[in-house]
Amino acid sequence: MTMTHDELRELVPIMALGALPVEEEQQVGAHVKFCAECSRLLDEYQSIADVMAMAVRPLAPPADLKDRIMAQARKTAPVDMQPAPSVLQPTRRRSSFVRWAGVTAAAAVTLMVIGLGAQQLVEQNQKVQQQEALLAAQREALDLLSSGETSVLTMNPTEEAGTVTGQVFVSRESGRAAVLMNGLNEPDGDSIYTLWLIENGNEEPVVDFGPDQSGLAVLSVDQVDSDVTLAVTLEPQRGNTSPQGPILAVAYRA
Amino acid sequence: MRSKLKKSVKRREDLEDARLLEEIANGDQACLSILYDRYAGSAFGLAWKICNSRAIAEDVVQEAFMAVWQRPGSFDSGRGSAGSFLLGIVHHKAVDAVRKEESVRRREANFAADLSDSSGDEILDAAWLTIRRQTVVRALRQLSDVQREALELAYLHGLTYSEVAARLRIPLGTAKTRMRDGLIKLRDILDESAVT
Repeated sequence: MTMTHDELRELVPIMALGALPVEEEQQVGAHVKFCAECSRLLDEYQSIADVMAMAVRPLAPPADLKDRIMAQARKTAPVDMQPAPSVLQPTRRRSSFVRWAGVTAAAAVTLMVIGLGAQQLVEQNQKVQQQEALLAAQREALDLLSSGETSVLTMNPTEEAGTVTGQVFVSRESGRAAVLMNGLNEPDGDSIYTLWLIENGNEEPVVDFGPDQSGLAVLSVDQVDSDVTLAVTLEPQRGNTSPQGPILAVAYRA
Repeated sequence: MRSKLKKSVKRREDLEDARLLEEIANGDQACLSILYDRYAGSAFGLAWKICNSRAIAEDVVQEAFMAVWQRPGSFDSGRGSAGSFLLGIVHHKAVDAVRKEESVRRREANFAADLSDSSGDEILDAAWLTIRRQTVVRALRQLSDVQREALELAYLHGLTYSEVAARLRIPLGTAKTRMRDGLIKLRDILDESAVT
């Protein structure tokens, strides 16, 4: 069941106490990743809840526990010492947009070697292919909507959403999903809307996108598993591999 | 000159918790050992209280210290003390463990308010920890009985809010309200004593 922002916010202090059942904990956990207000509240409540731990009487642990811990520590270096992976691994949930982007990049590189005089041709080619990809995604989304085997999730708008609203239609059989976003303004400058999938705390960009003239965008995602959160952000530039811009809307598939 | 230099170099044992975590991030095992000496008693007491099992509590404490060893960078001093950070990990892992073990039944018989100030043979002799503990205990005592009861059942006994409601025979909404109001009041009291 999809919860509203107010319902999720009410559960934040309960989460700080560790008193939510697993399913609700996952929903609130996914929400706070993208809601600045609830994230701040969770930090605040968590710091208070953890102070309660000090109220418990200390007990002497078994004498050999320290030896066991230190022996285990000698075998493993702190993860924080190790360099983080610089490239996100692609997953099976890449959208048709992402596949198209790879093809376009290769095509663009090929054309660039012809010379700067071909730059205009490259840009025109990119625009045509972008339109084709958009149309293909819309066709997939419409096919999905007409299948009648879908569950519908609301893209819950955040405080920074403005007029943005959205819905996600997920095929119960295949997990394919169509995301319909409304009320989108044309982004300024290099800004771009980005759809993300978040699973187990890992954010994966699905697609950078812009609205049509009516402020609508229709996106296609190959697979949305359960326990996955979808989010739309407004990023400062195209191609971000982790969210940097404000979160506009979030949906969680239980 | 030599003595000046000596004075300027702090012994590891004197490092503040946050500095210990910085050194741990550099792979300093001696600092992990010191952190253990400071908090193992509190961690084990908390884990045992939640799990009501010595064996599970040992596993929880080991996992918690290994989590700190492997991810000391996840500590944010803006969100509380290093001690709270460590005990928060212990709490999280203990609740996970207790839910896996479904040991609620075993804890039924053990439930009783356990906020005594008295010391026993097993209590570690750490004066500053004792002072902090007494401050928190006093703060908890300033809550209303129903708020304290709800917070203790949830945080110190690892019950979900629906289990708290069932235990106290109150509606779910009332259980959630008592927890939230209790936390807010606790924050206000602790703000005055600057424990966090």
